Amino acid sequence: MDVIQISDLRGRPRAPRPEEVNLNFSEKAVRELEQLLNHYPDKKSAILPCLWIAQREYGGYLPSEAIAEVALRLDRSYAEIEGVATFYTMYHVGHPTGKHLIEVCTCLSCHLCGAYRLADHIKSKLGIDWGETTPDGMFTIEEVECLDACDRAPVLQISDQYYGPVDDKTVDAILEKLKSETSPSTVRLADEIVQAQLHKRDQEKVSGN
Amino acid sequence: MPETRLLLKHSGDAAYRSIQGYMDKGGYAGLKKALSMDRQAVIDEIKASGLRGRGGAGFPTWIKWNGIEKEKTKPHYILCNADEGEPGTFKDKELMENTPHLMIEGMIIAGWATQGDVGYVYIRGEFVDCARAVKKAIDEAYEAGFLGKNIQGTGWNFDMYVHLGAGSYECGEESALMSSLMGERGMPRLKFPHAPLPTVAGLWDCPTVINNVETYACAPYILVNGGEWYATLGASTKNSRGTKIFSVSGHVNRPGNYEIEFGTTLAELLEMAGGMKGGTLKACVPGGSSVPILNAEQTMNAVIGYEEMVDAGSMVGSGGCMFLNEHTCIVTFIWRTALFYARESCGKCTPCREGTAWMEQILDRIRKGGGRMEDIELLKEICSQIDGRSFCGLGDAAAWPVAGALKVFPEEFEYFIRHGHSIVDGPEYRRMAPEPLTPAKV
Amino acid sequence: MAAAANEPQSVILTINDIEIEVPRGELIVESVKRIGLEIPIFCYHSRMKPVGMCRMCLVDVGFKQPDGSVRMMPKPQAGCTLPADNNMVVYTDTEKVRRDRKGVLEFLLINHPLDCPICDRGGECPLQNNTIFYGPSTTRYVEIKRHLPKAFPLSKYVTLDLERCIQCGRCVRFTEEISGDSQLAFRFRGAMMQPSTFELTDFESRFSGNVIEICPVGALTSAEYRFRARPWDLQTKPSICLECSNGCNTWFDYRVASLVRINGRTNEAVNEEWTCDKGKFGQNYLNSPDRLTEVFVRDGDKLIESNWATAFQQVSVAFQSAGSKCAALVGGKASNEDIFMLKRLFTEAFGSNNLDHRWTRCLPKSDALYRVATSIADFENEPVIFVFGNNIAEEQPILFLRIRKAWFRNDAKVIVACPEACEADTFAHTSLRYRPGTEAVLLGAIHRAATGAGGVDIAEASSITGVGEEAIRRAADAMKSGFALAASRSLLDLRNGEHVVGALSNLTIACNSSEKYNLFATSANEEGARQIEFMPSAEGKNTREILEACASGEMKALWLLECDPLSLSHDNELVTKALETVEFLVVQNHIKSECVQFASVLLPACAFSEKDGTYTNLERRVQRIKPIIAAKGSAKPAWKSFGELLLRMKGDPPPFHAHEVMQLIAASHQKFQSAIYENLEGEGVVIPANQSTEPQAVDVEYTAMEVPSNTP
Repeated sequence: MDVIQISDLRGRPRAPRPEEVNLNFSEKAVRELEQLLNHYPDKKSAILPCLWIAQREYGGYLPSEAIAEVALRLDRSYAEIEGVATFYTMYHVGHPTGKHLIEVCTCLSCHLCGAYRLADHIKSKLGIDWGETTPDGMFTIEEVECLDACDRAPVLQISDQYYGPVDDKTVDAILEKLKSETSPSTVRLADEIVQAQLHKRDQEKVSGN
Repeated sequence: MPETRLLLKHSGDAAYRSIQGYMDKGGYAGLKKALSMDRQAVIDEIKASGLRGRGGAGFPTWIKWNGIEKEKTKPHYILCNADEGEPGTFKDKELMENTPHLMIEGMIIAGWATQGDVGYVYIRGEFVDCARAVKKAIDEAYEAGFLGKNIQGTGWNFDMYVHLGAGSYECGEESALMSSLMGERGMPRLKFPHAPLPTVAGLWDCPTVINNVETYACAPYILVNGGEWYATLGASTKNSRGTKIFSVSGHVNRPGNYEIEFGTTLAELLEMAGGMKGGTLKACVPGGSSVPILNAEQTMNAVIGYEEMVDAGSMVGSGGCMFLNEHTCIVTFIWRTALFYARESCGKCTPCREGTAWMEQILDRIRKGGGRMEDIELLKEICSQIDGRSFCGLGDAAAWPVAGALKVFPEEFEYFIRHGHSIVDGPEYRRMAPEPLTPAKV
Repeated sequence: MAAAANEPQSVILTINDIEIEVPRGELIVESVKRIGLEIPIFCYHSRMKPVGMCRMCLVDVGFKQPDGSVRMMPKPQAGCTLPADNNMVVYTDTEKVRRDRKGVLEFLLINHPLDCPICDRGGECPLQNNTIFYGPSTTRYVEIKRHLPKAFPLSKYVTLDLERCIQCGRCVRFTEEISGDSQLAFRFRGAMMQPSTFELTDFESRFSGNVIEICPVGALTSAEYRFRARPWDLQTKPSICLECSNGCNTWFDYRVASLVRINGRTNEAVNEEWTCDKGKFGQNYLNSPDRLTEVFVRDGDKLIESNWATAFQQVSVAFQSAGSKCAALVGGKASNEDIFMLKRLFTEAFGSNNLDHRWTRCLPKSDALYRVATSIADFENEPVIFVFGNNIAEEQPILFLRIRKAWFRNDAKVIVACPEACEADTFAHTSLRYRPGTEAVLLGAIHRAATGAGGVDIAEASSITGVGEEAIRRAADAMKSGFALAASRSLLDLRNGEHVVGALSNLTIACNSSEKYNLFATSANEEGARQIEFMPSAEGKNTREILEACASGEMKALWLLECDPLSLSHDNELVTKALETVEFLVVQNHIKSECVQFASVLLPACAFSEKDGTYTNLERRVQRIKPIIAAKGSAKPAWKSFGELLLRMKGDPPPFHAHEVMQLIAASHQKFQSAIYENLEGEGVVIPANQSTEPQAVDVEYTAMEVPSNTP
């Protein structure tokens, strides 16, 4: 957020009107949301699952259109949805990440087992610092708090997979393998999370059987 | 005492994850027995077992179940806190991945005992494997008639859903978890006596039972074998009954989950985990990052039990036991702990929001060589200004480890401040400490 | 639950060793006030749900045990969320509590910038005040403070300074709980948590000004008031807002002789403490160069500056010679006193009954259709409310807040019928979005659905109005056993307005709710003019007839008080013709308007901040205004000028003070007897409604009418 000069006191651009928001959810996503809404007594409770759907639909992050779409689909205000989304670290609000998000746990047990050194290795190998994305848009590295797999420290999470214990060598192999994967693993993570919340019978309804 | 595998008995058996394998080993017998019993009798059985919440606070489970209105006026919800996030703890992860039916059966039993309508398993977003396993198990339980309409011919309906979080430690706090489940920012809600208990007005203002994964997982065993039998486990302790899973990590040879009877010593636990790795024992954080740190002597004398652990100077907490070897810099370790809380503070109340960040700033300055002697007193003061003043337990949990370390290892802090570098040094230390580093010899 | 009902409604607790009895469930922060104590607060606000966020109100709490000992709770408790209970023991001023307060303030201040000298809040800042009384005198913070955007223009009214924010959430909760637009929410978490609109876009709200007032620091400041004054340099006087008919109570802050800002003033019966943005930011006309400050008289095609004597001379000649062929029209900002004296002038001196204050297209004769039965505060406790017609949040913002409160606090069912999307839809039990022009049909269908008879066929109505049958039935179902109506007189602007209003009246009668029928005034003193009967008597002409008579040349002289027919009337062609044609036109106003060009005489009037008088709001609440700043130029209160004319023409002794006018009003209109000035301090006085017989059903044509499309 840039600091605005005092001289610029003209008011702000306005938020989009409902009719100006494009609804980009796929048909499948709409049906998934329908099923998820059945899980709760009110629409508001589906905000988190719906944000996951949105993160998948919008390619692994939540641009402002995604926030607006979730708000409209659940009858909430934009500000409220933005507030919820920015509270949780796994939603990437506003800025896309690389295709593969490497989340390195540096919390207590991992730190005891050398996570910071491991992170230095990954950072220098990819030439990026925390929160940065490689120029080819392939990798983003993020420091995360305890992933609760301390028996496998140091551990990292990429998409829905935990890797640990890892050392420089195994990390190199993992990165090498990921390079050949072109579909964004961040999207896969969101999809896995959505699917895990749908019963088998929900999924059958979504696929129309 | 050796390991007493109860919940983890079949954890290594891949077949146990499916409902068939689970039932082959006697699964759902507890639920069937419960369904044949009077609802109150189920609660009484839990009462007799002496089961206390395994999530960290150790609150007697039966009181929660018994607190639900007996004459139903609203929907009742059964909520499972599977938002395991305490650094050092990974027991719920294993329970959900390897024994999902155990937890689900426990939740259904709780549902029966309290006339529940819907159960939610709130799993942290990172635990995709757990969520998949639990979801699969729920699907199986529906097919087998343990969930859904008219369960086992009792006429009772009970549904269960998986709900995933999205990255927030605070959501493991029960009221914040409810906020999050209801689609809000994961901020804690008013608690008794400021507001009704969750058993009166929890999720969507309806009566709600909320327990940890491990707590629910105990219920089937209690029902099958009886509460009195369960209470014989851990009988050597003052008021802790049954078994407890400890997640052992850090500088040990065989990190992992170890299920022990209360009354086991920390020394025995360390032994189970294959003893220290890379050096001798320096300190131990026995119950997850929130509990005060113990030095080697305290560790070797500690007996595991809710009250016994307090006597030893710490707490059972969630059972995330980290052993630290002699090359560990306590200052760095505590800074990292403070950083965790500063990052995970939800921001709702002043002491936690500002205090955790301030503590982290001070400790960061010390660890970079810029410490002042008065910082020690200042840190103690900040801890006392947070502890008990914050909205929820996260503030307390952030203050205890810092205050504890200042009490147990004052010399490490004084040394670091006086010399601008850690009391320990060597390749092992440098491997643990993040940049920028202030080693004694570069 | 049954047991709870039998429990006594009050509890006895001990605060600082003083035993007091308070209502069960009262928050400790309120209970302590009963013994003259105060607990410092930031996040707590009595009109919003307590949250216990800031921890400033921590107190020591214990419970008396059966054996008489006291068991203190191990942790201090937030007084703003703790309900009082029997045997509770509270200490608000122990060493421990003082230490906790100091601790919380130290935390709040570590990241708070020290820009108090240039902060608009300085001098009236709760953070400053609490720091003086309870805070540490020095800081122990040597780290780098948090740096965030400053002076961020959140809207043209509100400026956001995130560094000053103490994350108390008052503003966020206001938009969620009170205004309901949810424009603000907290983003991010922990130390980076900040209140903000969606991606810092424009803060679009009708009530955004309130967050400036409830912000306990200088994080939300007024873009207009920014750097214009120091609070201690301002003088402040109570006033009333005239921007709509709600009659909100305000504080009028001024310096030398000009308005600096408007703040909300508490009146539980009217606006509680809120203002709308129109009222808070819309008063700049008072300082505008367009103010009419001198007398002008026409000389050929020019208006030349003149004086009152000359003007009076010309006016008395023109109107006397016009005789009954003269008329007067008033607008909504004329006070009771102005209107009454103008009426006297016309009836007693000019012998004319051509008086009107109504500007709507339809001007029904029946007084019953104009009745108002429910007060603003009563709406809070109405279980079913029918909001009909134009967007209520636009027309009656403060009444809208009450109706929203009825839903938010008391689960009222609010049925909203409006031709366009409106704020009330967000909490409506049923929203009936009808096609413009089909009002009467919709009401006929609801009538049929609610009573099974009368009205019109529901299916047919559904296709005409565009409202689903289901929705009509659902609304009727909620309303059939009674409802309170909230509709405004702007409905009479419809070409079939009389039928629409008649249909509303019939519906209330059919649902046994005729005592909850309300057709509210839309402008500040419209209801006052009605109560003073500034309307044509039997032989007089109404607004339309007057304008037509002017246009035809029949009417010789016209007096316009505080009104601009070009903006008020629906028929500008007629107005223009009338103003062009009438021989003598007096325009008396506090501000220049478009019709000035036609005037024969221009008379400057005092604005509300410059005169003494009373206004009657939509619920017939008579409220007093007092002169706050000096009159501009030669302007004088309109009622005074009428008195002077009466003296000149009839020799009647003029009233010298506004309260004398009120006595005259009370003498001729009995219902005003309770409204004499001594009674008007505080919340004002609601005068009784006209005695009317049981309202009778009227004949109504439940038909739609073509609405000319306004789209170019």
